[in-house]
Amino acid sequence: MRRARAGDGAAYDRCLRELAHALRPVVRRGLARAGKSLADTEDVVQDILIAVHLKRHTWDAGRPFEPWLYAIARHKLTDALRKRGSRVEVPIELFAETLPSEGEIEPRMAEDVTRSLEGLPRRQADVVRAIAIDGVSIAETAARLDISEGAVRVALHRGLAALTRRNRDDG
Amino acid sequence: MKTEQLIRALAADNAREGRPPALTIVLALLAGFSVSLAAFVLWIGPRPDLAQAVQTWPFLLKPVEMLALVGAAAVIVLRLAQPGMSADAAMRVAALAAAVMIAAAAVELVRLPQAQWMVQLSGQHWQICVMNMVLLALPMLAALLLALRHAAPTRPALAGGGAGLLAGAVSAALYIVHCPDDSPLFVAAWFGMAIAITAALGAGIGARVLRW
Repeated sequence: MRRARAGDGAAYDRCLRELAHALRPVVRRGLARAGKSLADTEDVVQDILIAVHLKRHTWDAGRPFEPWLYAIARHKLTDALRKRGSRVEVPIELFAETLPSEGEIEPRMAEDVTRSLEGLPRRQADVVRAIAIDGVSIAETAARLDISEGAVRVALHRGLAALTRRNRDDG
Repeated sequence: MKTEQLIRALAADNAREGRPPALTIVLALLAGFSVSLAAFVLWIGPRPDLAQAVQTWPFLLKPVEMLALVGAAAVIVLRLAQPGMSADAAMRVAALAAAVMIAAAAVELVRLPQAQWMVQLSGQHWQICVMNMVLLALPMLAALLLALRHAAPTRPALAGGGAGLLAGAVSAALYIVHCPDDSPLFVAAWFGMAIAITAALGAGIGARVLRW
């Protein structure tokens, strides 16, 4: 994270991957303890990643990273559990041997692509789709949509911020 | 969207990063304070006997109490703006400042004959005092809440309450320059009430607008 802070894009990408990897079991445990469906794990992990990203300026690089990260993860997990509060779930312990594996979760996540970008303003959705799903660079996205790179950056940032706002309002 | 894909988008958005929250909060407080100060100068103004009053101890107790509260509240807001930081120590200091106000009021009660209690408590116009302090706090409260939205308070109501406490304490500190009543009884009751109102206001609004 410190190197990402210094503007090292590759380090930031790697850092987020490691975070996702580290957060997944924690979120899974949290959901399980609250008796919620583990199918929501990836949703919550994504919420946390977006929050970490949007709030990264609130981490003081002179302080330890973990307490900051865990406070955000806990905040988002609590939020997620509250949102799912009304849903009745079977206690997970009963199905300990048949927990869905990563592979089983993925197909649902693929469906999420269309779902989670729906409702974004058109421009933002186009930009997020190009960069996230098609994996195109900012310059290429700009050329493709015939807008400036600055506009792509703004639309990307707003689109990502809107993703959490919408997630939050869902409940 | 898959997590992999999301990460790609997040990494692509790495170009710009927000200002450190502490800087944003300090700037917001200064901006709010300049509005409050302008309003104070335009519509309220200093008390005529300020020069004499400054030499008496009941007057001097006021800025000491208020500035202690301002300091504690500032630390509370700055710490609650950042995830993973505790504001417990600062909250104890704020509680201590409140305790000093109450203790001074208790001493005053003992010192004064009972017939004087209500006279000192009501002062010249306590309603206007409370109202003015709350109104003077509003620009600062609004600015602080905006700054906190830019930060990451994981306890929205508490952070909003801290912002209200800070705005109220700064406003009360400013109002000392005008308020003609120096009795610690008056200060504990009405300065205390004005600050409590802004803190409650901040907590109520914070619980709604500081969620993220």
